[in-house]
Amino acid sequence: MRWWLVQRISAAVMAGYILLLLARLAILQPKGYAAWQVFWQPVWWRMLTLVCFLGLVVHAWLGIRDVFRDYVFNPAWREWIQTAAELLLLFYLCWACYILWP
Amino acid sequence: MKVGRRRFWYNKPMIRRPKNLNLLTIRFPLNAVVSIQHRISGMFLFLLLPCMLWGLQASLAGEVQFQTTLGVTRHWSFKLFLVWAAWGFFHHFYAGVRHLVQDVRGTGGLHTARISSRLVLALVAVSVAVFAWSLW
Repeated sequence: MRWWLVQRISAAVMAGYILLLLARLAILQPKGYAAWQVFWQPVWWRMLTLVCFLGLVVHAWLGIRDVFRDYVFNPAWREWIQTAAELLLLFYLCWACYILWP
Repeated sequence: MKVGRRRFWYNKPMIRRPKNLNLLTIRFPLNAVVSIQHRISGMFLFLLLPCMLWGLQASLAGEVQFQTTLGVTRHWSFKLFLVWAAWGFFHHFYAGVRHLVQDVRGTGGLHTARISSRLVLALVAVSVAVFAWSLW
């Protein structure tokens, strides 16, 4: 599969999740800590959030890769910066898992 | 070919050629503005990722942390920051949807592309205004 298509699909996944999030916020209207906790309680919602975040990580990875390719001309520098960004995104993914399943 | 000194960020020597980079004489077309802002907002959102994760973690960590997080968001300077972040999100979202539509249906010519650019900018302005209004 082409990477640009992966970026489009991940964008569509995130857009769907955001619409669902807005709908849930509008229906449940969580006010206060207890309601906020209930909002994040369902396992299916946590799973969907993780899927969205996975899409976000892939989308961000491809996006900043394109930006680095356009503006960082030195191949050695670009390699380093890109690797650093990839490690950072991997760390964010682990962090998100930890938040969702503490 | 006249060759200048080596630049530290580029592995090839600089070639001297005439340039017009006087930014006061260059005017970006509307479509280019929407496109470059899509890229800028994307980088901005990437930099905001740790803030979002930290906010979610703090708000779910306990009653006290939840109230602290809410308290921080009630400060006017943080609200300004939130409005800025909302601009980044809305612009990236609407311009991204425009790109997706263009992928599927084609750009439809310069005229259509200009109209959709205006539509994106208008939607962003309205969304950010609604967000700011609901914040204050």
